[in-house]
Amino acid sequence: MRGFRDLPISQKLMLLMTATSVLALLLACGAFVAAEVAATRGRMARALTLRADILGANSAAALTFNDPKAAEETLATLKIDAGVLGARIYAADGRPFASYLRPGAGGLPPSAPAEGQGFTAGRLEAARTLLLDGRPIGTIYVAQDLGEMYRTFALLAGVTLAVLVLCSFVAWALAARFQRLISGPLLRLTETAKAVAERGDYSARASDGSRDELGVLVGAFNEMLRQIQLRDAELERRVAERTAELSAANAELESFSYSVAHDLRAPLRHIHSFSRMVLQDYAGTLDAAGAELLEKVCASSVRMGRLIDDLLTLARLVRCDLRVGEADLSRLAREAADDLREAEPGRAVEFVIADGLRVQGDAVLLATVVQNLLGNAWKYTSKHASARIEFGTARQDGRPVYFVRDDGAGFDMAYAGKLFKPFSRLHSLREFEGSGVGLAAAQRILARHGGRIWCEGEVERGATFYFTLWDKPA
Amino acid sequence: MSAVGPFFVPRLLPLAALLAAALPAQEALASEPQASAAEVRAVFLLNFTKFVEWPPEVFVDTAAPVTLGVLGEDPVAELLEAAVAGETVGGRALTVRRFSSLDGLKPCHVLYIAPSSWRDLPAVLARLEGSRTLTVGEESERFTKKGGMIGFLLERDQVRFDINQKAAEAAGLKVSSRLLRLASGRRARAAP
Repeated sequence: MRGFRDLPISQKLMLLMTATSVLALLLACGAFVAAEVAATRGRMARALTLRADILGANSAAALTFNDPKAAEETLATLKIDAGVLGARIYAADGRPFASYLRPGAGGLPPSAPAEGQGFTAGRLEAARTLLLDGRPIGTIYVAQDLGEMYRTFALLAGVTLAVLVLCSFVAWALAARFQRLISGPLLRLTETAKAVAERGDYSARASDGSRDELGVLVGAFNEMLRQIQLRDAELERRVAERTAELSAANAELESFSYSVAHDLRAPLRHIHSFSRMVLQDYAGTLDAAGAELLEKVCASSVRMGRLIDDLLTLARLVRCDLRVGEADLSRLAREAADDLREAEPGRAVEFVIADGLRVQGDAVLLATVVQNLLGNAWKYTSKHASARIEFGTARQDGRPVYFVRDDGAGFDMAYAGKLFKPFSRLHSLREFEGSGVGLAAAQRILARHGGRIWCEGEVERGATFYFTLWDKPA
Repeated sequence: MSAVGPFFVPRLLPLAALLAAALPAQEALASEPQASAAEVRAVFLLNFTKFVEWPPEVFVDTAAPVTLGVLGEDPVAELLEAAVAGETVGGRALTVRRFSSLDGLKPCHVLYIAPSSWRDLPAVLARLEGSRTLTVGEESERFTKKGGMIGFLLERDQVRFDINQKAAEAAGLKVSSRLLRLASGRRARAAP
């Protein structure tokens, strides 16, 4: 049954229909043959009895007047029927009176058998009492061989078998045709379901037609697909809407911060220049404490100016176009290292920069990333007498990961998340200079290159910044 | 009487006898204790009534018996009386009547004319003309020639008979074809 369960539905249907038809045919043919056999036997028995009666009536006079010759002449008429084995008339006392025996056809009962008829081995026998004027005067016995009956049965069986075989073929052929009524819609439904499952094509529809359960199934399936499609469309629409809203809000925020930063510069410049003017023009009238306070005002305005510049840079990074080309990260790193050494020639810092790290990206923006990361390392190793800064690559999940490692101040991993937020710093200004924009800028640039940045570190044991490019298309 | 021609007289008696001799069953029967010729005649006389049909008017009513007459002194009469006891033919009882001479003769259904009355035969037949009596006698050929209807004969010690069908038909009697088939003359002619 396992094999049957795994058969395609069309074959199952064909098998079922054909098996049902053949079984019904078998039963019908069996009943027909059985009825025909019984009827034939009964008919033959009746015919033989009738023949015995006719022969008996024709022989009554011969028996009455003790004329066996005449009786044998009557019996001899049986010659014309090759199926008759023999016949015998018995006198009233049971002794044989006259006989007919087909050549080579067994024997005849030596004394009168009891009235009746029946099938015995290979022959049909009938014995009838001869009556004359209502009184028994003797017995007649007739035997017939069953060859003819068996030939009739053989013919019947042959014809029945032929009909059975023919009907089975017809049933198979019809089943092959009819099963499509059911398997057709199912197969089309299956194809559609596969198309949906494999290609995610929710626009596919199963063709429909009938009004039966299959039609209902197909209709329900199509309706399901329609609802999924509708919901998908609704979801997409909402995502697009939200994205648009977010982008708009983001753009507004960016432009707001840009304009704020931009507009802040002019009054700041005034504060700085007027403070300078007071320091220069009123140096005589200011006491030492006043001059010192004004100096602080100047320094603060300079720092604020730098903050504003960084803000503007950060805003620009997001807004500017991305010009993707070949970028040699190794060269960019070496240039950045040279710049850093030139700025502070006194420091003992060893740079280890891997060669041939070529990537696709905006060379200018990636230079900023490399500068910021190396600058960061340079800055946070400044408290150590000597330092080692490494720029290299490793592989993670089969994709390249770039890193900048230093052995500087490091940080507490608990605050790792804050590192990439603009203007947030883990160290005080007194410890390390900086606005806290560098890493945030690097993160934004890398995000625009479809990459990520993350870091590992430990207080006073250095930090490692990792970044990737093109994890997903920008 | 003139209507009864000589056409049905068996002419080939020797051949009929030969044929009878060729019957093995008959030989088997012959080995059995043989019934006397008179007994056989009595039984035959009784059985003739079963193969001959009389017109309905010869019977007074449906219960009227079939009468079997014996003309002349013969042992057949006594044997016949014994044979008909309890017998019926077509629902009718059978009675036997003896006639010692032509004078007392009355019409019967069957009349056996014993050899002792042989010389009266023409007168008997004349008397019975139109009476629907089946006449049975001896010496078949001569009997039937003279207008008798069934004449007994002996073939190899077997009692056989000839039938003058014309005479029977003239008397309004219908003799069954089954009985006619057994008539000696007919069989002799039918034989190859």
